[in-house]
Amino acid sequence: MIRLVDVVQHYGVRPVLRGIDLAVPAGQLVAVVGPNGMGKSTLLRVIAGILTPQRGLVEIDGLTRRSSEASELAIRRRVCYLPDHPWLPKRATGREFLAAVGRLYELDSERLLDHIERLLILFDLVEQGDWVISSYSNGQQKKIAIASALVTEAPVLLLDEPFAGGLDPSGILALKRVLQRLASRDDKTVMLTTPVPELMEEIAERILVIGEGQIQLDDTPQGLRERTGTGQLATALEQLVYPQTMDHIEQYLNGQS
Amino acid sequence: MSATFNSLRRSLHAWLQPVLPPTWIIVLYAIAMLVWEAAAHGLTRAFDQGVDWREFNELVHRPRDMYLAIGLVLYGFYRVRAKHPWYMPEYAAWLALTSWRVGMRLPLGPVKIVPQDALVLLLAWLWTLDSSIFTPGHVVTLFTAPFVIAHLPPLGAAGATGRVYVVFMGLALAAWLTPTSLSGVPALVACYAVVMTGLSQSLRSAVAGNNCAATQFAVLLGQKEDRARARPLKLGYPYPQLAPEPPAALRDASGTSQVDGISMRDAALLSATLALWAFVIASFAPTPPDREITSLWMTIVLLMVAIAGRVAVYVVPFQPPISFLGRIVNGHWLIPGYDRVLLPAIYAGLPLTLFLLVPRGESGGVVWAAPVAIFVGWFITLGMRPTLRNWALTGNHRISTGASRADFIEI
Repeated sequence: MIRLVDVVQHYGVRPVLRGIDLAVPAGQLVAVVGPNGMGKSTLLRVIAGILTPQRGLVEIDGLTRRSSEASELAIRRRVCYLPDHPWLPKRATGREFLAAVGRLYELDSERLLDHIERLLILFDLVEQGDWVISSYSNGQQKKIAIASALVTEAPVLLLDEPFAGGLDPSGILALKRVLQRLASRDDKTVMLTTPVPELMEEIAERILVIGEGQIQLDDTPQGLRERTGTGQLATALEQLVYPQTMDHIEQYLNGQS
Repeated sequence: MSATFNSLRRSLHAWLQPVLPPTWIIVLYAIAMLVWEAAAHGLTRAFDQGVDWREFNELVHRPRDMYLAIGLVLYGFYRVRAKHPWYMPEYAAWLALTSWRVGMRLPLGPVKIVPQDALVLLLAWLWTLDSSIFTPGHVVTLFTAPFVIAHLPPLGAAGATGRVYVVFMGLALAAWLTPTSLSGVPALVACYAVVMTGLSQSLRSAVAGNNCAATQFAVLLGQKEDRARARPLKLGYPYPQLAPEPPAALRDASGTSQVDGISMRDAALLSATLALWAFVIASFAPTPPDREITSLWMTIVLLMVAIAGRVAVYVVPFQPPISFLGRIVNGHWLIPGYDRVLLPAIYAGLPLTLFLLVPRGESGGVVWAAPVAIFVGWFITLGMRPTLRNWALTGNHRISTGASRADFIEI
């Protein structure tokens, strides 16, 4: 269970998040969407503990972030955050990297090694598992980064733009199915951001639309479709999130400014 | 006769072998020494007439004394560096597989001072008999001090930090006393005794633990065969910054920022050691004004280093939640949850300010005030809460990605 109460966050002058109240129950897959620079990544960073909000609080399973050493450590055992641009160790092999991350989360060795093998198969990295990460393509680096988040087996996964960064169709398919399964059957809570609404169509149970630092819409995909009377989630989100975009396209194509 | 001599030579060699460096090093050292002596002798003969012998003797023997001093220092370090398993991870790993136990003789040679060392020191002393500056105290000090110092890294790695600080203070005392007389030797003997009380602990830790510090040190020394095994795998961002507390064995390897804070006892001992050494170094200055100037500058530099270090360690990985401009524009002049981390640095500036107000002159007040200011300033910066661990976990900060991305790929 993730709970945010009146969270305000700003890096400098302009507030990025303004009074966010949110509750995400365990086992839910939530997609955060919205235009660039509206606070999607910041929201995840606040929940992940990278940032401390200037006001409000963040709770994970009833424990408040940064309230005490014990509660912070307990939260860290439950949460895994993968930023949109993680840093991977250049000289480690994929297997070494996954094993090191797994050991950091104090996972049983045999279970960890088995999980690593399954992840490498899932993302078509069996052969590359013994190569150093610096020799990977962009897509393979993205895959190993995603695998590192999955290998932790954390009950709460916070994934910033997991579908971006050169992931191939098989990688996208694998990730969609795995996340769906983790939320629906393994009771894991997944929050992810993406600028691509189509990807959410099949997997998200709930969609948050962030705009101007606030949650502007919080609904199921079905609810969003009904709001706009369209059959496609992508079309619904185009109307709800990017209402000016079609006008801008028309203006550009007609040579207007 | 020849057979008896050979037998005696072999016995002596076998007896000395566990402590002496490899033969080629001894031969090289001896050749260099002989070349120097021959050159000095030749010069003496060439300028037989009209030379001030006393002055020439000084010229010849001072570099020769220096040569011997370097030899003694290197021998002191060598005796521990080449015999203690902490310095040789593969030796430690091999010992762990054998029936060797702490208390038994070490296969590569002892790490205690043994009668063979006394013979080496006796020979060195005989060599210096005609020196006007070398005393037996110098001979003992030049060997024992590096011998004791070389024991400190394994001792510290074994967790006996208290002993390490006590020895450093003892060495300061020895340094303070030695220039005038033999009186520094008892202080050195006491340091040696303290090191020996922790020897079992350091050997056990090095062999049983085959600990990471040893392997890391091996990397520093450039031992390529240990490099691959010793290099800790740093995980980049964000795992070390956000991961749950790793098991102790993994703490170094993970590069985690959750460093346990230094204990109050260690903070006090380290501060006292620095203060004592500053006092001793200042006492080496030849005149009272020189001592005053040395004390003044050492205090300023040491306290500035303490303040800058405290700020860097706490602020670089854990940055303010909002920018400086943001503070001004939004009226958040103070952010108590974050700014509390700067208090120790501010408090440490207090002893520095008070020290600068101490009147200079004949009273020698500055010389005595300097160690007090250094102790107080360092104790505040090292010991004052929050600990780094507490700050990392509960501070109102923004976690940064880390300063260097040389070993990482940002995707």
